Amino acid sequence: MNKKIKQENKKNTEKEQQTIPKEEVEAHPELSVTIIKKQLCKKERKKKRIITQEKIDRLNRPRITKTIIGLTIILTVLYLVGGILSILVLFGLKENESWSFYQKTAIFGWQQLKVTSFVLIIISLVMLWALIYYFRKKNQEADSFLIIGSGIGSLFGIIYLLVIIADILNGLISAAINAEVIHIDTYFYLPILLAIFTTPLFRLLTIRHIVLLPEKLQPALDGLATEIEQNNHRTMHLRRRPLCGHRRRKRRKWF
Amino acid sequence: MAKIALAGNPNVGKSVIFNALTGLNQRIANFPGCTVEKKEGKMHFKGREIEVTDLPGIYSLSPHSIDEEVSRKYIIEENPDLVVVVLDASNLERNLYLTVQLMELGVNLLAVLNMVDLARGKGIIIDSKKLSENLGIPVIETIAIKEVGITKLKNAICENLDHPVKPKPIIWKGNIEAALQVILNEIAPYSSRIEKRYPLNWLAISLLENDKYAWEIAIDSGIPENELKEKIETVNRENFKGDAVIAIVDARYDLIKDFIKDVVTDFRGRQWALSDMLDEVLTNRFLGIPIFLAIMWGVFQLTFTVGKPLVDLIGLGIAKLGDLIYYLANLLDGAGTGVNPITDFIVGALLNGFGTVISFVPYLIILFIALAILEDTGYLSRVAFIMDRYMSKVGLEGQAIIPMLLGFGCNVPGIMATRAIKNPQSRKTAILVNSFMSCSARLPVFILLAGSIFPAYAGLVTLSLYILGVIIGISFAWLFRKTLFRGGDTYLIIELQPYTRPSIKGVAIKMWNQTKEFFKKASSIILIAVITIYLLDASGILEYLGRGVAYLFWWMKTSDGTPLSWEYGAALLSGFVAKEVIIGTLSTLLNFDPSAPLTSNPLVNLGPAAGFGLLVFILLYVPCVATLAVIKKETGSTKWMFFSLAFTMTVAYTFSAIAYFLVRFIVSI
Repeated sequence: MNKKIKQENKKNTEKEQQTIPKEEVEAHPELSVTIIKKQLCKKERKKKRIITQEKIDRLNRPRITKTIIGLTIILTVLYLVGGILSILVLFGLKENESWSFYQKTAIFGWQQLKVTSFVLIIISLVMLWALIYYFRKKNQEADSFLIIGSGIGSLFGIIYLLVIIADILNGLISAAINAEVIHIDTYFYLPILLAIFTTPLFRLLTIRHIVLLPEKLQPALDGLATEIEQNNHRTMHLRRRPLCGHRRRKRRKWF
Repeated sequence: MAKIALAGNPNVGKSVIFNALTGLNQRIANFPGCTVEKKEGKMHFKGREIEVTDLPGIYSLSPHSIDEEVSRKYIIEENPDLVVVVLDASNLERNLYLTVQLMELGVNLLAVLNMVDLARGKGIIIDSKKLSENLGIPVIETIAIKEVGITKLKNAICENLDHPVKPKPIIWKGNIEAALQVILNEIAPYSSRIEKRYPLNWLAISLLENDKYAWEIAIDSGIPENELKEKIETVNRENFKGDAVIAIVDARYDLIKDFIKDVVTDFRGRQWALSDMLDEVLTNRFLGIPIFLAIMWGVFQLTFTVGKPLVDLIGLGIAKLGDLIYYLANLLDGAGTGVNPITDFIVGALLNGFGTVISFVPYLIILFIALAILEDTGYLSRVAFIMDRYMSKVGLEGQAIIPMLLGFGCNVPGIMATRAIKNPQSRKTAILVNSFMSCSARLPVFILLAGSIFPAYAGLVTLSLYILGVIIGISFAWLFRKTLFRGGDTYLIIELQPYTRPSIKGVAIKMWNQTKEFFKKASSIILIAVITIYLLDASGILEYLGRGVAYLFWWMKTSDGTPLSWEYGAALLSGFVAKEVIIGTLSTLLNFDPSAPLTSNPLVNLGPAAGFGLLVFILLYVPCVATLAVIKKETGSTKWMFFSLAFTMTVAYTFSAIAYFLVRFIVSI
C-alpha cells in the first residue's frame, strides 16, 4: 500500500517538475519544489473579488450620499473652527477671552498645535468646495474634492501620530542623557481625532469610484497578479536561500 | 555585440526597463525629462551580451531641444540593431505617433506596452495581440516597475535580433502620396548615395515637413537645394495650401486610428477614473498651491520631529565615543586627562566636526523617503503643472519647472535637466536661477540653525526658506527675461501619468541612492574640508579669513548686541566647498557638545534676527563649487559661471540684510 502511494507521489512530482520553466530550474534548481508548491497553491486558490459591482452600486445610493454630505458638513465646521481658533492662538489669544478654552484644552497634557492652523483651514476649504458641488448635484466633482480633503485630513492624523511617538522617544532619550524628568511638549490632537472619521470616509469614497472590469477579463488580470506575486516570491527566496538550506540541514541531523 | 535602443515618449518608464534589462541603477523619476543624456549598459541573457542604450524621451522624431536631438541622432546615425519603443498603455494613441515615425524609418522595431496595470486601473483594456497584428511588429506587455514581463521582453529582444521584424511600410494616401511622388522623383538620381543610410520615403516625408536635418542630408548628398525647395514649395502650396506639416500630422493620426481599431476598450463610460478625480482638485487653480504647501509643511514637520530622537541618539553615540577616546588615551598616557594634540584632533575634527554632519542623516533619510513617495505617486509632475501658470507669467518656459524640482535634491542634475528647455534664452535663465532652489545639502544647515534658534517653529522656518528661494528664483527669472534674455515662446508639454501607489522597494532604492551620495560626499569632500578647517584653525589662518568675511556683515548683531564672530565668517567661507561643511566648521570652531540638545548650543546666541539673516544668506549664495563647474559646462562659457557667482553673492547679501532688519523690526514691536 505504502509503495503504491510512494509511486503515485513520485509520478505527481515528475509531472509537476515538467511544468516548471526550464530556465528557472537551471538557474535555481534548489527552488524548484518551492516554486511548484507556490504555483499549485495559486491554482487551487480561487480569486474572489472583495469589492464587487453590487457593493460599489450600494455605496453610490443617494442615501449614502446624504450621509456623506452630513458628515462633510460636521467635518468642515470642525476643521474650520479648529483652524480659526488656532490662528487666534497663534496671533495671541488672551487668557481671559471667551475662546481661550481652546488654548487651555489638552489631553494628557498635550495642547493644540498652533501652527497647524493653516492646514486645518485648507482642509476645511477643500471640504467646503465639495459641499458646494454636492448642493449643485455634481456628485463626481464633489467626491473628488472630498477624497482630497479626507485624504489630507488622514495624512495629517498619521503625521501627528508619528510626532507623538517621536516626542515620547525624544523624552525618553533626553531623560536617559540628562537624567531629567520626562517632559513631553507636544501639541496634536485635533488632526488625530478628526482622522478617525476622515480615514474611513476616504476609503468609502475611493471604493465608490472604482472602475471594475467585466468578470470575463478577470482570468487575464489574475494571470498578471500571479506573475507579480511569483516575482515577489522568487526574489524573497533568492534572498533567503542560504538560510533555508541551513535550516533544512539542521533538521536532518535531528531526525 | 548587438546594439539595442530604448525609445519612447517622456515618462513612460524607459529608464525602469533599462534598469531591469541591464541590472544597472540609473536614476528614475515619475516626471518627464529625468533622462537628458543617453545612458548605456549591457544586458546578459542566455549567454548573449547586448548593448542597451536608454534615450531621452521624445514625442516625435522632429526635435526641438538638445535632449530630443540626442535621441534622434542616435536612432538615425548609430543605426541600432533593434529599437525598443516603449508605449504608455494608458495613453496609447499619442504614444503611437513616435512609433509611426519609427516605422517610417524602417528600423527593426519591437514595441513594449508598459504600465498595463495603470491602464487597467483606469478601466482601459488593450488587446496587445491585435495591436501587434495591426502594427506588424511584436508587442510585449510589461509592468516594468514590478519587473513583470521583463523575461518575456528579454526573450523577445533575442528572438528579434535573430530574426529581425521590419514593420509594415507606411502607405500614404491622397495628397501626401502625390506630393511624395514628386519629391521622390527629384531625389531619385541621388538615391544610391542616400539609400545606404536613410530610407528614401522617410527622407521625402521629412523634406515635405521642412525638417532641417533632412535638408542637411539632402544637401550633403548633392541634391540641388534651390530646385528641390522650389518644387516642394509648389507642391505644398497646391496640395496643402501651405500646411503640409499639419496634413502629415493628421495623416499619421489617421493611421494610428486604424492601428488601434478594435484594440482599446474603455470601460469607464461617463465615470471618472480615480486619478482624474484627484487631478480635478490637486491641479485646481485656487487650491492646488495651498494643498501643495500643506503637504510640504507636513513633510518638514515629519522630518524635524520624527528625525529628532534618532539624531539625538547618534549625537549621544558620538559624545560617548569622544569620552572613550579620551579614556583610552588616558590609559595609554598613564597619568593625566588624555588630552593631547592627537586626541584633540580626533575628537575636535573627526567626531565633533565630521560626526555632527553625519548625525543629521536621519533627517535627510526621512526627507528623501517623503520626497520619493511624492515623486513616485506622480504628484510632483502635478506640481510642475500647477506652477506652470505662474512660471509662464514670468516668461519662463514650463519645462523650467522640472529642473527647479530636481534642484531641491541637488542643483547639479537640476542645471543639467535644463537641456530639455527649447528656447536658449529661457534655458540660460533657468540655469542661473536654479541655484536659489534649496538643495538637500542645505537642509542640515537649516535644521541646525532653525532648530537652535527657532525650536518651536523650525519646520515653519525651513519651509519659509524653501518658499523664499522659489519666490526669489521666479522673480529674477522674470527680471532676466525682461532684460538679459528676451524672446521665445513659452509652453509646457507634460506627461501626467495616472497616480500610482509607490512601492516600498522603489522608495527604498531612491532613498538609499541619495543617502549613499551623501555618505560618498561626506567621506570625501566634507571629511577633507573639515580636516582642512581644523588645521587652518590650529595655524590661525582661518581666523584671519573668518574675520574678513565676518567684517562684511558689520551691520549684523547677535542677540547680545555684539557683531558676528569670525567663526561664522569662516563657516560661510567653507560653505563654498559644500554646504554641509558649514555644520562641520561651526561644530569644530564653536565646540558643540554632540549629545546636548540643539537649543543649548552656542548658535542660540545669534538671536532670531541674525539667525534668520544668516539662514537667508546660506540659502541664496552659490550652492557649491560643483554647481559652478556645471554652470560653466552647460552654458559653455566661463563668463556665465563668474556672473552666477557674483549674482548669487549679491542677491544673498542683499536679501540677508533685508531679512535681518525685517526680523529685528518685528521682534522690536
